[in-house]
Amino acid sequence: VTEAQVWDALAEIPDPEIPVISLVDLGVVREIEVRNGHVRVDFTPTFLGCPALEVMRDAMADQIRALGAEPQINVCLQVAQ
Amino acid sequence: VNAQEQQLLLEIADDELILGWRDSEWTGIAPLLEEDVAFSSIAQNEIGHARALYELVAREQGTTADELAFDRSPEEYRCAQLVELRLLDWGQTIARHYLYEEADAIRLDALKQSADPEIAGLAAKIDREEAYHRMHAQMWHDRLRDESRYVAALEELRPLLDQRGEHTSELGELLEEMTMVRRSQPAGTKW
Repeated sequence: VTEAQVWDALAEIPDPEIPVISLVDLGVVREIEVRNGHVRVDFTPTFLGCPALEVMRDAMADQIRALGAEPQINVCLQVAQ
Repeated sequence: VNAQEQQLLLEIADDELILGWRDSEWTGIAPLLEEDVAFSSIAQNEIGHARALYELVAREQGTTADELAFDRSPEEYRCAQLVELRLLDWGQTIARHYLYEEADAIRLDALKQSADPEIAGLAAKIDREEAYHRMHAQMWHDRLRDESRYVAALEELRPLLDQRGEHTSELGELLEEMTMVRRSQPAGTKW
């Protein structure tokens, strides 16, 4: 699995609120790291009370498993400098 | 995250959770629809902040955010008496909101300077959202500041900001209500 494949796979997940854009378009995916079949995704929800946080986390994990890799989804709360 | 920091994070998380619940009691009955939506959204944000803070502490303590939020006894909560009260008056509710946001901003500013990047990062994320709560509180404060009932509410509620050692009976009652469904099933139930 390559990092580019993971970005493409995550770009297929619609934003739960605005389905015409993807989670990648939404800008919540911060960083992807691929190592030995493990994929780590850092993502930052748009706001902390976001009720779709678990839905997005599960959808990303499912997409990564479909690529044959083991997902680790981190909720990353550090604001970009 | 040392023990002292964990206590502080829990204190903030408990404030945000309890205040979020109390604010949500206005959903559907606020004085106007725009306010109904706005105040419900603020309540949702506060509970979201509590969730993120509990998750950080839970990881350090080997527990879960849900257990910290729901499964402690009332004495273990560290929230201020200010957030515990069920306020049925809109002016009093705005007075509490204004007092809380003012104090919360100072606390978050300090937390943003934490040497722990995770704590500082979370504080910055929370503060970004609280900025809108502060604008909302300020708008109402400016509108009501000359009303004697509102001024009286500010004076009456202000001392409760620092009352953290003992709780009002209203906290126990609230926790009973909040955990009613959770307690109806055996511990460890997968919801």
